[in-house]
Amino acid sequence: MRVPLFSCVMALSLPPLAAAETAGLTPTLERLETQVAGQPVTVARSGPACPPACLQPMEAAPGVSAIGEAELVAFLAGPVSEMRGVLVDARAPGPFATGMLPGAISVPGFTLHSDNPYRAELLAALGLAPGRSPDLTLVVFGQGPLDPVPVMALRALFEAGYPAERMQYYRGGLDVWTALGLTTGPGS
Amino acid sequence: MVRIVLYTLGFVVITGLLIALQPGAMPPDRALTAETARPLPAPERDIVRSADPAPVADAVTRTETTFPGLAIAEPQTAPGDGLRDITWAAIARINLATGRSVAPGQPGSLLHAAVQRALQGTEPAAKPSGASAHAGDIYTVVSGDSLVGIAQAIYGDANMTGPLYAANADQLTDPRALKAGQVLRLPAR
Repeated sequence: MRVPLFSCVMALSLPPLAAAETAGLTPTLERLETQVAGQPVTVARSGPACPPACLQPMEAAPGVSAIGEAELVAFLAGPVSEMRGVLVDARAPGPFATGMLPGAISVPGFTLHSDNPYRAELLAALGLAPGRSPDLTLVVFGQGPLDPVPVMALRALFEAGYPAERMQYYRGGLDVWTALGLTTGPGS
Repeated sequence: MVRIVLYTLGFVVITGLLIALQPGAMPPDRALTAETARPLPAPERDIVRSADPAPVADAVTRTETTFPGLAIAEPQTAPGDGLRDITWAAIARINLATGRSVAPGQPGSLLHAAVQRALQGTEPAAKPSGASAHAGDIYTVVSGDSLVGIAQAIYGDANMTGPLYAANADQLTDPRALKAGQVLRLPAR
């Protein structure tokens, strides 16, 4: 019953798909109007509405750093190839099939939420179990800098006790990766 | 005789009344409808439930049109079994990627990766000291050397211990009898 309600709320909150820059920047800031050297300056955004498609922070969770493409390539060359790291695609299974980062593994973000009754097994597979410290480094990404899913996944992992220094956030996601002309696929 | 007939009649009437009016008994017609009606509500409930997926699909497509890949409604819509399957599939992928679901030692396993890493770690150390030893090259033993260690360091291959010992058999009485300052001939690989 929550879902139809949610879709109704979504439908009501959707802006008319005009060029009006009313999509919003962050959950608390719809647009910025300020002055620089006496001249009025405006920052607004058009596109998918915020929430949920908001500008995501660089620091997904306390102590979790964001990385760029060069660092991601180095991560694939180093920890991932030595099986000390995992590149995590947090998107839902649907979009994962349409395109993916090379070497990425699909771990849908909602499987990391605390309401998933099977989460303990998933965390154990990542090396997080009582009395054990994970030795895997995770780089989590989503569709793009507007996608809240990887941020929520990283926060869920952080709250579950995954060490922040073993997690990184590729904020660019698939959108920025493909915009730069980088190879997509194959993952699993 | 009349008394017996009356007693029997009374017994039958009272028994019949008790059977008909016993508490909790369902009238035969009502019991029948209850039994036939019980399976009916299930399909009705199914119909009500199957009306839900339409808005679900609607919500998903709507989020996808506004922002591809944004499936924030997914966690609420994923049914219990689907969530379990998705979680177990993710676990399987993690185990595969971290080399825990492959037989130990096979390519793709953690052991294989560790061995490869260890081999890569030793090879660069061997190269600067001359991995391609030619016939006629010599090596001066320093304190703490062993034939295996020298073979590993010079050739990057502990299997060269035997040829190394054979080439210096005249001055080595025992493979372990190395003295600092001794000059060994290095056989060609």
